[in-house]
Amino acid sequence: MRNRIYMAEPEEFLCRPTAEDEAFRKTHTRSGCSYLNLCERFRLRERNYVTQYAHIYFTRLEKMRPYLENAAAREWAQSVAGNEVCVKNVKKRLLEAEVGERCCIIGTLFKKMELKPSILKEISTSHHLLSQPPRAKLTSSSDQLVVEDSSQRFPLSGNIPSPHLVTGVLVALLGTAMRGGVFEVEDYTFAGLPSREESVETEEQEEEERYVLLVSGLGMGSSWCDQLSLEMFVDYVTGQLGGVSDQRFCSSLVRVIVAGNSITPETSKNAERQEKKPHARFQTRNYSADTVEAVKEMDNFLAQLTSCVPVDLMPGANDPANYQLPQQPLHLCMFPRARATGRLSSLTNPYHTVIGGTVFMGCSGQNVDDIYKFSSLTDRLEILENTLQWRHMLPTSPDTLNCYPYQDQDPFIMNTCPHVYFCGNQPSFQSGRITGCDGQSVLTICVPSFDLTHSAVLVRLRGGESEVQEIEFGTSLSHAPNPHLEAVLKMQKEGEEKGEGDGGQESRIEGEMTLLHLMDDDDDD
Amino acid sequence: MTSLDEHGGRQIRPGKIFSEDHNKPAVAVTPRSEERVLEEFDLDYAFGPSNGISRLMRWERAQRLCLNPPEEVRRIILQHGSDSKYNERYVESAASSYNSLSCISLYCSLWNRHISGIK
Repeated sequence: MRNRIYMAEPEEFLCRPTAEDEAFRKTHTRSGCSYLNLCERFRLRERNYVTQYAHIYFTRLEKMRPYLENAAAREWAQSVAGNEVCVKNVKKRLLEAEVGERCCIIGTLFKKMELKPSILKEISTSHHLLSQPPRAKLTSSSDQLVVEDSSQRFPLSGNIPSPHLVTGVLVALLGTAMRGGVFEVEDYTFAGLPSREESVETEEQEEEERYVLLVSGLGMGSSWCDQLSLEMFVDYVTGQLGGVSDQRFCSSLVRVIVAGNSITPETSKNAERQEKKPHARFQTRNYSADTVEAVKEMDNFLAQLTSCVPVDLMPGANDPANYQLPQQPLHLCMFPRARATGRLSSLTNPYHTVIGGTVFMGCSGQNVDDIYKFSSLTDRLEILENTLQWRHMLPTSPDTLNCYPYQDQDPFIMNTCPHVYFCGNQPSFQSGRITGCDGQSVLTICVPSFDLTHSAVLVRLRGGESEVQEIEFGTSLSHAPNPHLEAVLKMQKEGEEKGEGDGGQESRIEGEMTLLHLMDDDDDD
Repeated sequence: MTSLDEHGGRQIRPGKIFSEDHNKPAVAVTPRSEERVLEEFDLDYAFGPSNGISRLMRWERAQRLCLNPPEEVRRIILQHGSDSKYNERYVESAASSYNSLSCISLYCSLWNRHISGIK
């Protein structure tokens, strides 16, 4: 295992303990930590699916309007050399922007993309017309950016990076409306990072070192699941691995956050294949769905972990939770053994807690994956930082990312600034630090998928100055990269090269399908 | 405010319906009925879409977003009870939309029969 936050003392490792060794006889107690669960705002009480999605866009715009006005005043009040035109000319509605007048408008962006999957194209498959082959990126050079609010819309041109932006982002634009209906953009700004609430527990942080472990994409129930890495992970966290200093270190690990995709996507595809084969009744008597087996494995895994550390479990895209965001907590009846320990908390998918005075916010990766498909950005950390700048965790919902049709609120707008902002199930580990205009700094983390990289992320809790490090539970003797990860990254690269606007041939971009092809010895139907 | 079009029918203009001194008309006008007040609240798009949301909820949403919805609307809705038809948008009752759709399909089928010569 490679590590940097601490160094294990090599003399102690694998040495027989001596009788005088005080350190050996000492039992390490895991540190306690304050914990505040703020995921209640993502819980759905009554489900009303009759409403349209227009309400959520209206609420989003009206809620963010004051933030955007402040951002516009901050950015442009000084730059226009004493001219107060911009600040006074913040238009309440797009309808008020007159032709030839230099003004500031606030609205929601919409990107017209011809390759965006639409329900009409899905219906066309029933008429045996060719549907679109799956691509990694759905951008093309003909994408057109439009700003709109409840009164009207303006196509945009000028100084705005339209390949990088996606539908649903709120923006304040400085420019002029031209004859012909186009808005010529001189400058643009977003709402920026939210302000930070005063943290109450700064004194407690300086006393002792505390760590949180983030892991995602465990992929239980898959045929290529590396059991050894998972066992190493559990043994490390429960203090059964390494020397005395490792155990001392692990006693300061206060929480493990499992950021989604604990079940492999293979189980749902297997279930689809099984359903298509007609089975006689006597053949299905002892047949149990793959998902059930995977959930049992997950229960065993969690029971081992929760025997000595509190665990927060988030649902992901492949987990047996609802499809729409916010994903509701996985029901604890699926994990009877882990639930009995009382240390398992099942939480919602956009995640928001305060652990030891450090505010954690994050998602299981659906937001970043969706923005990756619809913008030309390739760096996932940059996408994550952009969602912070846009001050919205899921800007592409409800357009391309399915979300609940809220009528009177948009809970994905960030009201407070987190200390640690993460997203799970990414192809590799990345981290960065981003600073807002009030001096608030946020640690951004892309948590890698465990079934591809066999690594987890360790965060040292220090409020705004938290540090992060990747811990790899590699099982190969050489430091050869994981062949499955290679295959996935290669597929994604090919998908990016192909994904620009041409109707290509059938190409399987989905990483897990490639892995099935490599590993599957059974006959497919 | 409402105005009369060339045929003498009352015409509602969308946009800023509730002017600042609407309680002091310059010319004597007939007092607006309660339904009219609620319809104008529905059509004012400053308070957001009115489709598929009850009027009371839309009013409360506008209040929370500091859009200053008129108090009169809330008073009228609560006076008649939040379960009454005053709380629903006047177009969006399921029965009326079903009837209009079924009428349209009936007319289409009748027209098809007519042009294909079936008696």
